[in-house]
Amino acid sequence: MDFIRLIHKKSFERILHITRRHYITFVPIAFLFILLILVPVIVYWFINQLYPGFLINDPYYQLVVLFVSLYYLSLCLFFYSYFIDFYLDILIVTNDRLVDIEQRGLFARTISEVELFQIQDITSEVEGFFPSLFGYGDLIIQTASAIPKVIVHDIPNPHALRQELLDLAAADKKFHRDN
Amino acid sequence: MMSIPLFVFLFLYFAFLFVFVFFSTVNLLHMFQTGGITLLSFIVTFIVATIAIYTLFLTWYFLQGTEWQQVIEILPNWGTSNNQFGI
Repeated sequence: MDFIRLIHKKSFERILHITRRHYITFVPIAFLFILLILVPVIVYWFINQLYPGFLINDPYYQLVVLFVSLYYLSLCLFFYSYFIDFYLDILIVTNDRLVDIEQRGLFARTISEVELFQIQDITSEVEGFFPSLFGYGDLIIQTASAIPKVIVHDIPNPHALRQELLDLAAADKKFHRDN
Repeated sequence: MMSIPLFVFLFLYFAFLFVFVFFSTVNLLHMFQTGGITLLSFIVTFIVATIAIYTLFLTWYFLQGTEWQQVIEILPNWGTSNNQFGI
């Protein structure tokens, strides 16, 4: 995958995990998108019930068509931009480091990188009804590097990932101590 | 009363289309360069593209044969009546 190029993978590095935010966190936006798509249809249906033949031969007909078209295209653009923002937040765990790629809007991206042996403490949090039901939450990683804290939001199975990261960090610390 | 030719709105619509195409291209570039193509990203891209293309097609369909030189009146009673609120 192309985002591997973004992290400049080292020759000895093996990618162990590529995690994105839990898909369920995108569902409310998808529902909102569907609802907003239906709004003009429902409004037109109601107006047509009240005033049959509404807009037929009306001088404003063209304006209404242009406005509705503009509305739908804007909706598509906002929805897709939001999806890109959601989809390009990626956590990559290798046998050497942890890379957190965060897309912020269309023109900003933050890439934080933490060596595994610099990890000091990891906290996993699953709070709320839906996070408990679908098993997603936050991972808070305290480090001894220049980035003291890395917070990864809404990832699936944060407790299992915490344990795995702790094991990897311990193995990496042992490797750096012995060499 | 303010009279505006219809083609002014058409040009405004084209200006919006330019912005739409620009941002859509940026989105797609992000997707191809960083996101990787997966089933989910393909499905979402396909749905959004289908809705956008369908919207453009219907816009063309409903507006074909329009006389764009015709003038429409915005705020038809503005300033012509002293009793606009029926008081």
